[in-house]
Amino acid sequence: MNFKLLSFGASFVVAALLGCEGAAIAPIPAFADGGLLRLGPPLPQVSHVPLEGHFIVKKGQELLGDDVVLTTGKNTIVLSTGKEAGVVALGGACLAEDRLILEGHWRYPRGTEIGLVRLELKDKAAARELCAGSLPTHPLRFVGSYGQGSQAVDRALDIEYDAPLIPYRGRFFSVAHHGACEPSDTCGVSPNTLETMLLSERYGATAMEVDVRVTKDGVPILFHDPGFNASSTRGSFCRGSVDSLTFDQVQANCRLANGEKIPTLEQGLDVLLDATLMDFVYLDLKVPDALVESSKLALKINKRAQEVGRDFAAVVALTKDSVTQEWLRFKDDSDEVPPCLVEYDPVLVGELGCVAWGPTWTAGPRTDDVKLVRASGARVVYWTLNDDHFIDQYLREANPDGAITARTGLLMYLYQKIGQVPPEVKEPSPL
Amino acid sequence: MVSSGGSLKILLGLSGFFLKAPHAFASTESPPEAPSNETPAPATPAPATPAPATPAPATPVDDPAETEAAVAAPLQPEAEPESPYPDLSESPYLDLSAMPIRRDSIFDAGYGTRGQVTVAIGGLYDALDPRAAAGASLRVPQFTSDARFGLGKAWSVTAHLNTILAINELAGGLSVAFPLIGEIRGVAQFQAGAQLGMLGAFGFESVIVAPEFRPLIGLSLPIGSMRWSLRGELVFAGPYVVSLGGATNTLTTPPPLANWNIALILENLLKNDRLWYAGVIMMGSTAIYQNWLLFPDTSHYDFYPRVVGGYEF
Repeated sequence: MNFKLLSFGASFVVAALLGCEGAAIAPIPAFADGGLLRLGPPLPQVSHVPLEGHFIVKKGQELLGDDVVLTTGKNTIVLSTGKEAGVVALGGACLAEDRLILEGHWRYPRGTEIGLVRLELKDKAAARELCAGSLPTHPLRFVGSYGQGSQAVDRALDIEYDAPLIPYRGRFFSVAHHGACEPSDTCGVSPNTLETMLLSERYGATAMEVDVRVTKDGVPILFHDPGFNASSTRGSFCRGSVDSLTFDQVQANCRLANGEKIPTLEQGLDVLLDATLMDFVYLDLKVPDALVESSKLALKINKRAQEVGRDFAAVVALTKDSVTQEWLRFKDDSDEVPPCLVEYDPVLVGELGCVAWGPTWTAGPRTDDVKLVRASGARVVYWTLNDDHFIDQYLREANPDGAITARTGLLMYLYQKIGQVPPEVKEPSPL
Repeated sequence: MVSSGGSLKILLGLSGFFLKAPHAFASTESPPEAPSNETPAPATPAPATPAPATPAPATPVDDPAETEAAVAAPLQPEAEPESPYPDLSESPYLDLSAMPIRRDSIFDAGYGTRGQVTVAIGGLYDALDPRAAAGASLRVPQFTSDARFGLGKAWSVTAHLNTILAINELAGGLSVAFPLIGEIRGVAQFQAGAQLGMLGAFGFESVIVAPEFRPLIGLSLPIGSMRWSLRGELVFAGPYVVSLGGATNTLTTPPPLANWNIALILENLLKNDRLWYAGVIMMGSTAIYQNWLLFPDTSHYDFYPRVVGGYEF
């Protein structure tokens, strides 16, 4: 065989293999022995916030970079890093002999890299204080290790508390873009599901955007596309537009790409209120027909949040003029309306009495419009800002109140690293 | 029983009978002096392919005088049908420019016929997964165009333009062809250019620019009037400079290899000396290369097909 021909053949094979990185799912790994968290009670929720802060990475810079930001959620501890938009999702448990263990996984969400992490609070006195629900008076330093995939954790990790965070609860919103992962990501969890709501907080989200459509029988469900198709749903009889099937038919025939059920908006709101500590949910109404029922559910969940003492609000996004018109009709017919957010025209924010403006980032920071909106007492939350450089630029130039993003950990990291606390809104706001 | 090799010969022979036009590869700029159905002898015949003493029996002959001469000539031993091309296998470093002038085409490895210009226009269709476009179904035909200018000695200047939704790829470069084995020829090409895009609707006030570098290698095999080409290409792009409402920055996330592709393309010569082409390209692309919506930022490659077709003149 001619050598040149062989060389060419080999080159083609190499070119083909370059594409084999592929979009394979990278599922969340588990410890082979079940992990250590099962051996003790969970770290008290009250002891999560005292852990928050900037941490210096003393070992494990190849994974996390030079520093991380530690934030917390409901039974969740999150390390966010600027390296590859990486996040570490951890849970905590108090073991015998004053051991405070954090276990979970790390992920580079843009690719397929994932692995296990195990950390232990080095100072046993601090562990004893935290496990008793007291503020720690001793230094916070976690040592442990991490691994690749489901392999053993065999690479050293060491992080030490450095400085407190700037305020973010109720002040700066890292809003998960319909969940923890984009459809083009490889995390194995579909958008707009109950599963991804829980995962979002573990990846650093402090709020969540969900897409709302309505079924043939008027049930608001969480689904992005106008119709069911092979790339988003499974099921031989799960075809056609969303409003061509009743909710029962959707439940019976449709499963999402990773096997999940399509939830109702009501189910989603309950999970966000009861199972997370998120600040608000951004209801992205895809069709005007979804407005009335969604608004009623938003009012209901906001009342329940008040009753249980949670700072939580469901906010209706007026995404286009047809939705706004429907909202105005609903306002005329109702004694009460939920808080609203305008996505398109900043002038409407003040005119309609909405609490926020949600501009797309693809038209630039629009700093003059930001000032206009702020003057009306409302907040600014961009969508959907994923790129490191542009997040940096928008934080510096516009000082927004938050952004919808698929990289919630990265956004929180950069806010803590280079951002400023957004100005207070003039009037009391549900956000 | 007919061996597989025999079957192949029969198939190739049939394709030659139906598809082969003996003057098919003559240049439009240098037509044969007189119409002839005889296989043209190379200007500089390769040693391994001596011109036959008489035309092959199967070759149809129009001239009555030649017909009589052919009938009067003694019968020759049964010979393989003569290839219109010199046998390059024993002359791997043969200068292709010494071959008879042939019609260059866009995707075929080509001969770099000096001064010959070929331009192609066509369309392409990407079967994008809606997941890469935030759920949007972006299934619209795109425009593509290529050009080639022969420099001689198997070298050509090439240019390429295609649209991908809101972005355009424009590149130019050099290609060189060389013999590999038998009638299979190889080609190596390198193009440099840019991706350019602008969108002022749907909530975008965006301009994007990225340099692009496209190394390519390929194999070509002529069968009658058909030219089959198998080409592998890498598209390196970046940094992506993006302006959004006046705020300019570079995108952080796209990896340098934006796309790899393997193409199988058929070009077929028509009687008017022009060609149509059609092909399928298997591609792996980053999200940003597929649709430039600025939202997807994944670094892995999605695998999807592209269909191309067009006309060369």
